[in-house]
Amino acid sequence: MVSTDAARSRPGRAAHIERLRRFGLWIVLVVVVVVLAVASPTFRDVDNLLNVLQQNSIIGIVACGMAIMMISGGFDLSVGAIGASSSVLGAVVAQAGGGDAAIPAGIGIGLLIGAINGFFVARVRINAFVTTFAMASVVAGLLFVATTAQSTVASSPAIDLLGAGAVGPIPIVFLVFVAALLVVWLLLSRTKFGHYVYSVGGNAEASRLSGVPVQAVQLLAFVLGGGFAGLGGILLLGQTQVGQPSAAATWPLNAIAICVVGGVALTGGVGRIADVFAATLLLGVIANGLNQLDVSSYWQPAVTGVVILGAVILDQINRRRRSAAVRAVDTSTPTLAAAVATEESGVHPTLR
Amino acid sequence: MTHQRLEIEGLCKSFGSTPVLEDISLSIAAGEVRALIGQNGAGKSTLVKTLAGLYPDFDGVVRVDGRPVLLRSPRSARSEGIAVIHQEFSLVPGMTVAENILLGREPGRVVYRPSRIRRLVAELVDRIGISVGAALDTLVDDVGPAIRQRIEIVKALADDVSLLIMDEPTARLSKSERAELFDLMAELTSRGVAIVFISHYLDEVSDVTDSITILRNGRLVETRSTADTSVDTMASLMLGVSFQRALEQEEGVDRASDDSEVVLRAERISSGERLHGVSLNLRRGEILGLAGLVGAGRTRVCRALTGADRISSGALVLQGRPVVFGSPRAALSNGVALIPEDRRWEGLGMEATIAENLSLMALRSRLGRFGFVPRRRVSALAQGLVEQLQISPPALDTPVGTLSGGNQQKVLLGKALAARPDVLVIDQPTAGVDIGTKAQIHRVLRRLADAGTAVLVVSDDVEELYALSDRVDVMVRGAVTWSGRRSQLDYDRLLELISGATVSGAKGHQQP
Ligand SMILES: Nc1ncnc2c1ncn2[C@@H]1O[C@H](COP(=O)(O)OP(=O)(O)OP(=O)(O)O)[C@@H](O)[C@H]1O
Ligand SMILES: [Mg+2]
Repeated sequence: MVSTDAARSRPGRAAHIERLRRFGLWIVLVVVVVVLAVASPTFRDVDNLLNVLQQNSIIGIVACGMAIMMISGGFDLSVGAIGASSSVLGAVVAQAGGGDAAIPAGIGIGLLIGAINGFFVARVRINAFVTTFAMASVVAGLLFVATTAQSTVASSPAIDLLGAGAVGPIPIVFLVFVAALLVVWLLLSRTKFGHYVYSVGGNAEASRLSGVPVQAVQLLAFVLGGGFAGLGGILLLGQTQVGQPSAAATWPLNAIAICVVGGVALTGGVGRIADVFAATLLLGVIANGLNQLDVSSYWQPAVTGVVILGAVILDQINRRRRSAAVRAVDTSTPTLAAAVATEESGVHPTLR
Repeated sequence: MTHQRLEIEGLCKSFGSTPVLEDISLSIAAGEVRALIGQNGAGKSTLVKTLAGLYPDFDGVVRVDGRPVLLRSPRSARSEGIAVIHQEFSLVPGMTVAENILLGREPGRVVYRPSRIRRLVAELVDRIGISVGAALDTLVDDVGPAIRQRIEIVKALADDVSLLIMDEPTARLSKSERAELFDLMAELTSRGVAIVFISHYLDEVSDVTDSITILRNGRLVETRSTADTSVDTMASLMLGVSFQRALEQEEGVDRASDDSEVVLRAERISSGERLHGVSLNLRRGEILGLAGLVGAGRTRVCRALTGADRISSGALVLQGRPVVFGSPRAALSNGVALIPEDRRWEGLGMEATIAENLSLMALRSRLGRFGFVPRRRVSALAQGLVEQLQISPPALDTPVGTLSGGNQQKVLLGKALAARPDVLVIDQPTAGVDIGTKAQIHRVLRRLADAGTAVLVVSDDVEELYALSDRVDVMVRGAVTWSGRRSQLDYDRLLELISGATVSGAKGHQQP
């Protein structure tokens, strides 16, 4: 086998950077947890740690949907409005004696609003910012009118169990979150739809030329995003026992923040669901840790902001290093011999 | 009578109220290679895209093997056996070579298995017998334009094809890669595949096609046999009455002079693994042609000179001062501009207008201070460039995404010209532009040199390079092997030098 320098050096360096990318966020998470555990006895208390899982699972589920939309090249500012409508509708259904039918009702309204968003973005080609921003106001407005801004106190046993129950020590919402992660991971890595989510986000025009059903993919991404936000709304109802039209206002930006920290590109085409998981935990742990250390709550948004910026900067540096490692081989056409040699050397990292 | 693969009758296509194709009728037989030629903006790509199923709202009738077809989507076109290699790359960054080759036609309905994709592509490559030239799980972001072109070809052949349409497939290929492509075409036609071949290289057209269809302003001028059509006839049919004026070449004056000032000097620069201690002098008011085979490192030199790639050893000296350019932007603010080889990939703002794109590079240096940009100056600047480069349609508010491929190239060229650089480095100045415009771009570059700019040109078209340059440097495998005045070099000698033949008795000086 002919082996050139190019064939040897490139997988070596790029793979190293690739490993850093893959596990970087988890390493940061472990370091932060260890530091906080040492610094604060209340933080390392098991009940507190379980509490972190309980409190961050819902936003994590919303972020799962957001990740699909962002990888496909869009994003959704109406997930908060969707969450509020879902929990209000769930409460209303439960109050009317519908019982557990509240669950499909809440998820259904999420899917529906997601479909409307998707229609405007994919079909009418209005950009995602404008569409979902407008959708958020419209839905929130309608919700206040329909409820005359009153909260509805009602729930069902199943909803309570999902939102606030536990299996042994483990909160059920966290199990739901893990299930959501698994579903999205399977969707993105093992289905054609997921593959097309990446291709549409990477280059929509090229995908269209290649025969990818671009509009259907974008539409479905928004439908799923809405569905996860609807599920989040139901779980919120389970935790609070009350459907509040003003709830969930912070979801859109928090979910986007989680995705960004998790390395999902705002420009689309890039992102891994495992990192969304790590990012959810990281942001949750930091918020909780600051609390335990009695840091004024005014500081928390600033710290979160710094974490987001830090993640983005790290990502940029990684990407630049990686393309430098690749450039070092050559940008111009390699000779066929070199290309064959690279082919034989086998191992090649991919971004995902 | 031979069997007709494709028949088109009365095809019309318009965008809004602007007709782009009017009443096109033609037919292509099985096993025939048909050239489609015409100026930039004549409507070639529009015809291709219609056949690819991208414009289902066309009027007229299209038949494949005698059956009328609807062509409602890329999928439906492909299921009729029509495969298309588009002028723009249809590759998705962040995905591997294999994923790109099968994009849009992965097996199965729901489930996607990466390992299966890879195996299928390996089998496919074996079956059609052309190598991609890169590992199948390399990211497409990491391969050069020639390999991207091969990926497109393999991708187009992934299904059974009865009609293969190639929109300027050779624009980015080296000579040997072109030869390979032509062999492949011959093999396909022997199996009865009909081929539509679009190119602005008319000698290529006359070598590899059986018949020629000429388009002008969206209308079909004529279809004739290649055997009795000379390159001059093709040009005159394409360009119509403007033929003579467009092709007029200015007599090449020799601007080279030993006492012209060196504006930018590269001293033994190395970069990456392909460039070893290259020295060059770019002189005020002269055009330097950098000759060499694909892979000789010319693109690397262009990028290293302009801050696009890092220099690992050696130095750049700009007007007597040593400089380090950390980025193309830093180079630009020092008056050194690059027009890169792979222009589409590096990107234009497709949604933005002609005027906005043209003024982008000039914004910082020339148009305004303190961030204010007077609109009038933007449009005056853009208007001048549109006229100079004959960009069509000439309306400044046209979104660049709707321009024909060749006209997009002109916008990119104009963008760099607008910055009025002291040093202009241009990699493949005329790839994808029609012969009329090519002469015009040559005129623009000459005038730029006459006005004092130092110009560095890299071109795979050796005739072009020879005609344009005042001085020539020849590169072989990452090093400059010959350097001297163009007037001391005849054309055949230049070809020899490029191919790396041992240098003997050249009048220019050799470098170690
Ligand atoms: N989507 C669009 N909207 C509006 N006009 C368009 C669109 N696409 C193409 N056109 C116009 O149609 C005309 C024909 O363009 P086309 O791309 O078919 O030219 P071409 O013959 O392929 O040229 P080139 O040699 O430069 O590639 C041009 O005037 C172009 O501006
Ligand atoms: Mg074209």
